[in-house]
Amino acid sequence: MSHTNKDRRLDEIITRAVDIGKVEFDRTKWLDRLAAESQTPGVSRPRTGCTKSEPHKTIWRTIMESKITKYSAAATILVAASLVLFDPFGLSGGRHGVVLAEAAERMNEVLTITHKEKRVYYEQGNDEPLLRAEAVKYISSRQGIVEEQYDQEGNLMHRVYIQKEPQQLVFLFVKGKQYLMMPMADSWARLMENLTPKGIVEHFKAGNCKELGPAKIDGHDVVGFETLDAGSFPIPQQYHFLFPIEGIKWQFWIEEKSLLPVAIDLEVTTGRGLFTSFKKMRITCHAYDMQYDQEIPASVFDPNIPDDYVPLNLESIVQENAAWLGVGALPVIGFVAYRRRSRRRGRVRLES
Amino acid sequence: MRGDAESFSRLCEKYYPALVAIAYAQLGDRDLAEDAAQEALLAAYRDITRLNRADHFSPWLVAICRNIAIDMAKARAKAGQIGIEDCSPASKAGHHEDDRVGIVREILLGLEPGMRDVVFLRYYNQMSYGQIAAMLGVSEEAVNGKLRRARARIRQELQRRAAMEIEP
Repeated sequence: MSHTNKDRRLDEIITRAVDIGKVEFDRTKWLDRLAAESQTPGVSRPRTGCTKSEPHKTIWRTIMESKITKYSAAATILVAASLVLFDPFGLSGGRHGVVLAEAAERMNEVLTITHKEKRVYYEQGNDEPLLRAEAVKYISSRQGIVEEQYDQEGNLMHRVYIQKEPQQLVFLFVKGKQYLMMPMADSWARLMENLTPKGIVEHFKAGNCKELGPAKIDGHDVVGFETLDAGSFPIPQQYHFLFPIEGIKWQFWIEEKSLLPVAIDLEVTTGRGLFTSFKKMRITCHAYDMQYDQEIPASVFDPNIPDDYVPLNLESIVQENAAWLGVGALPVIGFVAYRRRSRRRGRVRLES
Repeated sequence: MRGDAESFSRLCEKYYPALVAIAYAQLGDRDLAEDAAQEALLAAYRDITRLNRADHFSPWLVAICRNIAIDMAKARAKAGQIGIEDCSPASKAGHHEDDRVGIVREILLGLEPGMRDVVFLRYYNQMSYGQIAAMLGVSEEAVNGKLRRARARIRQELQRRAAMEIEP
């Protein structure tokens, strides 16, 4: 059978497989249903994706399903975590506790967030940065998270998709025209449990968090909070050789008027690891231009892998200066590489 | 109000078959898929004023329909009723169905939902790449890529199963 005939045969089979019979819109039935519904107040309504008043219950879980977003998004989580930490309802006249409580409540209603980030990568002890980058993040409760990182010339370096349906990660590395697609298995979910809000809250109950007081950022009157903690990124011990986090300092700034975070700053220090190119790194990140509940086109969340991209393999990860891949990519790639390395013992060349 | 609804209902006629296909790709049950499509159109009618950009109408409508279908599937699974798999096209493939068609239905279930949507819109609704792209709010290249990958997956799986049958 020729190639064309095979294709035609396949098309026929697929056409038969998806044939569910003819469907026709019953206008009368629909109008009746509409009329009946309008006479029934309080009927439960499905999500339309642009209802601002609908409480959003899963955004924490969405954000924390991957370590990728941990660096920037967990600062948002801290707003909720701090609610428990400060026990604001138990504080008499605790102004900042109330701010946090109300901010946490506001964040629970948010359906989408977009923001920008300025990232600078340093080798510790060297004030000259290895890399400066800009990132844009789109976060949707329904569709997942997309991150784009650009170099200083505005060239796209990578795009990361954390999809909810299906539950998977997709990386597109523009420079090498490579992609990485992997499902987020249940084992991942177990691994991430200590990154859930509950896990964070448990952790920060034992930690410390201080208020920075009122300030002005980008013309906004804000209240600042800071926490110093290495354990807030609890990479399991067996993965430390890949990306050993030594310390994280968070600062988040909540606008007094809207009670929503307007900026987040963080600084991460690492030990020497495979995916820091065996350098001790210091990475700073400033998240700003927070936009809440803006309509984000569905196409943004669609990983359209170009035809000329090839799958990323371990060798190319090692050969790539991993530090240049960006904060977002490192932990996940580390985890992937660890798993692959386990299967390909002896094949890995470590290059600094 | 009624006049608006009637105008909107004429718009519904255009989108309804595609919405049923989108919902069916999630639910695997035609009756439920029709319910989901109708529900999506009701929800869209209620919230149409909140749509900021008119050119996003069809992707927005598709997203509503897909979300409703997903919620319906989850609700049924949670209630211990027939699960998604059980009411899938595959399970409806009776003994009289062509084996390969049944296998393709099974394979379709394993495809990622976005890919499944494109397959249904292309092969059931007979839409062009451009129409699918406009419907889903993606590029034609994305549609092409998804269809190509879906076809490759189906072909590979059919070949794999055929090889298994030959093995002693």
